[in-house]
Amino acid sequence: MSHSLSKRLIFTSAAASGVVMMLMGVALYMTVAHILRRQFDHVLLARATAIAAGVDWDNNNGHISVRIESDAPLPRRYRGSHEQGQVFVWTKQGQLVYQSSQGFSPVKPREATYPAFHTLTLAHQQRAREVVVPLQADGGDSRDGSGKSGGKEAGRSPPPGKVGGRALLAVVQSLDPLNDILQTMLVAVALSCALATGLLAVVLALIARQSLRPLRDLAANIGRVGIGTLAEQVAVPQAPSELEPVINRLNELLSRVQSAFERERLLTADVAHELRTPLAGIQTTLELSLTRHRDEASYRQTIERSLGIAHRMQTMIANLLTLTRAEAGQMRLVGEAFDVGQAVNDALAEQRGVLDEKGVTVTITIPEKCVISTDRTAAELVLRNVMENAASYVDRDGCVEVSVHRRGKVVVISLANTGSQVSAPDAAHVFERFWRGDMARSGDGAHCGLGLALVQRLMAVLGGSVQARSQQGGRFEIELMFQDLGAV
Amino acid sequence: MLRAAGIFMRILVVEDYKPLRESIVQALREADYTVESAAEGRTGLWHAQDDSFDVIVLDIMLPGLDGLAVLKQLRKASVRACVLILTARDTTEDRVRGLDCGADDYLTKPFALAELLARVRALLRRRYQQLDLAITIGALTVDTCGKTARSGDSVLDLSAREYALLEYLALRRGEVVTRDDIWKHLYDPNAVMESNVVDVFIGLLRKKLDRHGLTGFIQTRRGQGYMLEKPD
Repeated sequence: MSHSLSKRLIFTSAAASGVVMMLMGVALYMTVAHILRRQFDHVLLARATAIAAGVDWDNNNGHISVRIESDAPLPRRYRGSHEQGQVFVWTKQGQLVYQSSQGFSPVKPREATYPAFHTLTLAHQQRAREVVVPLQADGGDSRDGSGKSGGKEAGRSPPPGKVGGRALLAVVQSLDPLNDILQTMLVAVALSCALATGLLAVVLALIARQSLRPLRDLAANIGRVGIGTLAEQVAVPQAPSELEPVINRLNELLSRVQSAFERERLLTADVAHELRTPLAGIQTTLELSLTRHRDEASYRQTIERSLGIAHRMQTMIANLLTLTRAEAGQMRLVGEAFDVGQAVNDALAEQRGVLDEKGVTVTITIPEKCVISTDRTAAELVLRNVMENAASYVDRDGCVEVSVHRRGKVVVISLANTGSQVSAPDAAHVFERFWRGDMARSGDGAHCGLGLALVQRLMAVLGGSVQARSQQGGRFEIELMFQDLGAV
Repeated sequence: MLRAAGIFMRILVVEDYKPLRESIVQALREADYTVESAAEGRTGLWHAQDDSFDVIVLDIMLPGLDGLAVLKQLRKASVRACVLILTARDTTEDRVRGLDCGADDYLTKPFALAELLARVRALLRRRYQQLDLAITIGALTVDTCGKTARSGDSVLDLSAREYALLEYLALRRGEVVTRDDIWKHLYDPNAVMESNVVDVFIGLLRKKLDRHGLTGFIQTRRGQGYMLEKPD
């Protein structure tokens, strides 16, 4: 069974309500039963009192007989159709002198106080209630020779205080009619509870169904969201306030996904675009080579040219992957001692050929020792890219200036080159992937607009920063701030 | 076809990516075109402005001045060369924008070299409004496919260079063709023009045409050049 919130809610609330109603029903039953029993006892006592008032003693030489002259039968609901109850009379000596019907032995009264009530179990598990009341005049006196005493006398003499010292009258009445009433009531209460619980469950189910409709609508609306319709926000009319945060977060998520998708799409387009030119280069070079039979030198040139293009594509893809990893935060940094001065010199040395060929004057200002703790691979990649950038864009017979300063735990590397093609407002764009606003690529088109984007990402990963300033036709400056990572 | 007949069709290649540029230039040269190249927009524009090129192969992403800007300025300067745009952008909008800026054709990178050459040939035909392979001017028929000229049914006995000159004039029939144009399309464009070589060849060609009764087809426009036209 799937884990359904509404089913669990309905089940638990219905069960809890059922238990509560059952407890209430039991309490009600017990209260009513108690009241009815008291009423029963009351009418039983009333009957016993009425009978007692009409007991007529007849002492016939030690043989005592009793006549009942008056009776007040119980209300019909307590006695059923045939039950008349049984009446017993004992003398002061404890002799049973009157019994309204045979075959039944009543309990001998032993109580100290009267009236006394007992519940008896008769034959056939029949239960009965007995009330015992003292008689004001009894046959015990007549044995002493008082003869016919009659009821009138009995009224005046107070009964003795001890058991066995008094004449007693017991009325036994079956409890069946009462128990029938109680049983009926029990069934009624139980049925009501069950019915109410069931009804409640149905109502709860309906409410849950109604309340969960926005959730189903939401699910349906989410189902309609496709790759092409990410920009359309999910909306649920009459959504309850509990659902609103979910919808809002969902829409925020959709927006994020959409912009990520858009970025990916642009990146894919850019990558495709950037790969097409070198691909066209390779294809044309190779096709040209095949158009006729050529000498060895020509084939060699074709191979070298194609290899050069392949290297360019490889560099671009490697840069792109590093950039993607840096953006996704998947780079693992290893802090180690990094001699900034040495690294700057190394990076510059790689570009020496290009710089010399262009007749560029290079000025370097590096303090004696400048060592920080940072990730060597990333830092070297940064320096290589900024140097390559400067060497590519510096004008013929121009200048490149490099200076390194230390400010506490921060090392600042400034790199400037003349002949900038970037206008001052465009300087911020140079860090965008594939930004080509300048169009100022070197003549061989070796740059694909990833280098500085990579620099910025790597600097962010290294906890540093990079800034660019430019004057059209003048200086292009890049400032790198390296943070000391400490011993990572 | 418009090659290997002594006429050197002039093509300018403007492409900043060196390996691609060099390959295209070599391929066009091997197809007997006279090719010049430029790596930047401005240089390309400077080359193209003298209107001596028949076809310009133009990249859009160029340093300095981008291809579309170059194209607009060329059209503003009434340069008649057919322009083939070469670019890595392949969306419909890019193609439409390029053509609307005055390009005659569009080729997306990467491309097959054979297709580039075929498109260049197609543009050359368009440049000279030569949809048929044979040009007929009155009784004169120039068969650009068989590289022969005929007067009625008799074939003219022309040298390769005389034929090339006749074909070039026939391609630009009804149009004044300068001596410089003739020199650039028929001789080594890098050599300095010899003062009267063109005039001498025109004279020789005229004589041969006269011999077949095609008198007065080549007219001289003093101070401007020559024009091939059916005489009144």
